[in-house]
Amino acid sequence: MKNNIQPELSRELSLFHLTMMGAGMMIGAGVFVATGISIGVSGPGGILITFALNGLIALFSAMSLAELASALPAAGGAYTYVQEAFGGVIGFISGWMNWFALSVAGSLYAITFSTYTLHLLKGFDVFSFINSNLILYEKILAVIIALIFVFINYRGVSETGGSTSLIALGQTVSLGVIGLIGILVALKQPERLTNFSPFLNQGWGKILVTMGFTYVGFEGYEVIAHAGEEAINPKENIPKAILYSVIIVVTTYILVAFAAVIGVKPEGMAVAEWFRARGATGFADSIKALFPFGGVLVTLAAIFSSTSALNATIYSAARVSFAISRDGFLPKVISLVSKKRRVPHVAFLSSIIILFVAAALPVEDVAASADIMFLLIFLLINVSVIKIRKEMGDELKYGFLMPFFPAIPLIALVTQLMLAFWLFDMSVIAWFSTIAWISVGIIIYYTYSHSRDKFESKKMILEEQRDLKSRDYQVMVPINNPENAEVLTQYAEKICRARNGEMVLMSVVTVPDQIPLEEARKFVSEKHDLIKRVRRMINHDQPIHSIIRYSRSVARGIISSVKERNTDLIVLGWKGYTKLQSFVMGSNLDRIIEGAACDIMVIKPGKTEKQYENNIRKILVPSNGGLHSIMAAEIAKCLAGFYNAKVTVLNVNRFGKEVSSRIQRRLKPVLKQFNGDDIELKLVEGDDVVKAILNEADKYDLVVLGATEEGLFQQLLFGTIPEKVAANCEKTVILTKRDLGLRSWFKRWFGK
Amino acid sequence: MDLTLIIGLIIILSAYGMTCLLIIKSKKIIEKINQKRLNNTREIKKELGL
Repeated sequence: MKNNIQPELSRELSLFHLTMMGAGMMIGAGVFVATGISIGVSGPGGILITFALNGLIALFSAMSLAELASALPAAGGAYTYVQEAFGGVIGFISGWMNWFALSVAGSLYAITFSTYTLHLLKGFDVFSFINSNLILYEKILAVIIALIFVFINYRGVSETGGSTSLIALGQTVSLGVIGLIGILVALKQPERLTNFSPFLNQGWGKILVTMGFTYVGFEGYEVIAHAGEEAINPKENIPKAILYSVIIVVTTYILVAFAAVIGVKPEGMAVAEWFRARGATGFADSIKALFPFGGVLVTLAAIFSSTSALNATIYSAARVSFAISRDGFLPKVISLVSKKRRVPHVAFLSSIIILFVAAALPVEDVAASADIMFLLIFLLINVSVIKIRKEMGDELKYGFLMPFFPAIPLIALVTQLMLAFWLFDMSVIAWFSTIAWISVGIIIYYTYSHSRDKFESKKMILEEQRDLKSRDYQVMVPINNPENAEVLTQYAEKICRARNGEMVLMSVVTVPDQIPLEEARKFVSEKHDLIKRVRRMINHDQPIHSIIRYSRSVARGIISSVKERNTDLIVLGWKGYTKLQSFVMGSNLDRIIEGAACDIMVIKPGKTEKQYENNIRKILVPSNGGLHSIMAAEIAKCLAGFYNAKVTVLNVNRFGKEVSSRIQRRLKPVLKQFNGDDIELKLVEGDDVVKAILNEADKYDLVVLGATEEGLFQQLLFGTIPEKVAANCEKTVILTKRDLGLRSWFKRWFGK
Repeated sequence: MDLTLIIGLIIILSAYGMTCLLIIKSKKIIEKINQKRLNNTREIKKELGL
């Protein structure tokens, strides 16, 4: 017997560990190098505005990531979320960019380490030779430290969550202390507040540049999403930790930036100029001037932060390249795991190449390259959160759902795009390297990865039978339920004939999350038998195709099929009630009606369906006008032609207030569909529209009813009246809903 | 006081304040979802009125 028990990591990371992991990763990044450079660009007040606004934008993206991490805790990381949402080239490019961004960020941390270490050492006589060629020594030390950490990772020795969080706590406390000392100094020597004058150095525009430039210091919370399998109570703790880490970091950054400005004694020089003259080490120099041993404290904090972040980044970069290769997008060699060390050794080596190349560039360009990539990745995260909530929201179990949706991810993605664009002002090289990297990625995808794309095969067709003939108009009939399969097919066939269309019989094999999708093949035979049985009932003059596909949910499988095949009309069945309170017609039916981009026809077979199925003489079309009613009239006309039945268009005049000429004018487009056929227009008066329709329906064999017109952002299925009629009518009821193109698209995306 | 300084301070305080408020609101959402054992978007939206 096959053993299906999966090994699971022990859950040891608490909310504190997770929060500090994220905070540590962020603090290790930008603050030591980017603060000084940014004050030089946007001025002493500009840096405070930069950090406060970046904190808010980072929080917007953090909320998106927190929502995704809470719903998909096992997946972890930007690449997997974007892959889940989009797949294909976008999924690949997100991983490709993430790999580059992490590797480049790694080189930024290596440079931070070397800059601060040499800054500390050059004060000693024995190391005075460093001053002769500082930049060269910085680069050499950066490469050496990177190599050391690659070796450490290769040996399989990595910090545990516990020690990482302790180091991060140390960093945060050190910087917090520096910030508080800055406040105390400002209170004791208020004249130092004049350092904030002029508040902005070169106007408001430069704030956008420094916001983009320091963004790398706000992205590290992604590491928390990777810890899903090791976290205690991940559904609650992971989203909380992501959000808490952001507020800790924003507060620390603002305090530290304030202290950096207060610490400066510019002596006749503008503060911004003072920082510009010192570049990456400006921050350390200002803290040195703030209090005794300030320089040593900040240098040690920078060294600890950068090494801890470098270690985590090398690990994450290798993990991303390993995942891309494992998914078949890059050569398998990258995902090879060392038998001795059990680490993806080739993935480590491939990441180090990018890291070395980046280390050769000036620090501003390195930081800007990482910034642009992270901004673009988080932009994709914000699109993914909208797409995943729309398409899978009803299936996933969320631990956190962001408020003000979709405004927050939309604002975040627009701002991120803007900041990335503004970084052109900071580094042209960074933008060129980003474009070059993305272009190479696209070429690799279409020349190598596309054919090996496992996610492309996520279309997951298990079996397909195509008729030799084909038609432009396509009607899809999902026949998952054997009880209504025959009825749906009977009506669909008539519409196909009337419109000279083709029919697609489709069935979905659902596979629960715990079972590999490959297991779906075991359940094909039962679906195959059902399709065969239905096929036998259909007149073979019409082209009939059939597909069996597998999916994690029936609704998603059907919606995907509609999209892939450009289906014109889908025919669904409804039993007339639902046991689930949160749904109107049923969990699958609601999702399909909301998500399928085509005309929809829902049939609720009446108690007398069997009696009338081949003997429909009278069809009732209750209507109050509108596009969905026109579709109902079209369907009624098709069926009336086939059965030689008589159609009655019914309008219920509520309270008898409306004059009949006005009603007739409104119903004109509906009546026009019958093109002079023998139809009757019946106007009745009544307070209760549903009751009036049900009373009339008793005299007919079939009722065809269009959805009611809705406001653009209302998310109704068919509307209360048609749904109540269908639920309570004893005769067969057909509900129709027309795909309104852009309006339907807007409703699908923003209507909830 | 110059106008740039005033506008700058307003931006800093409102951005930081909004960050804190959103985190507090999000924390409440996370805890309610957990307490009430809510699952999908439909249940959560209905229960929490999001």
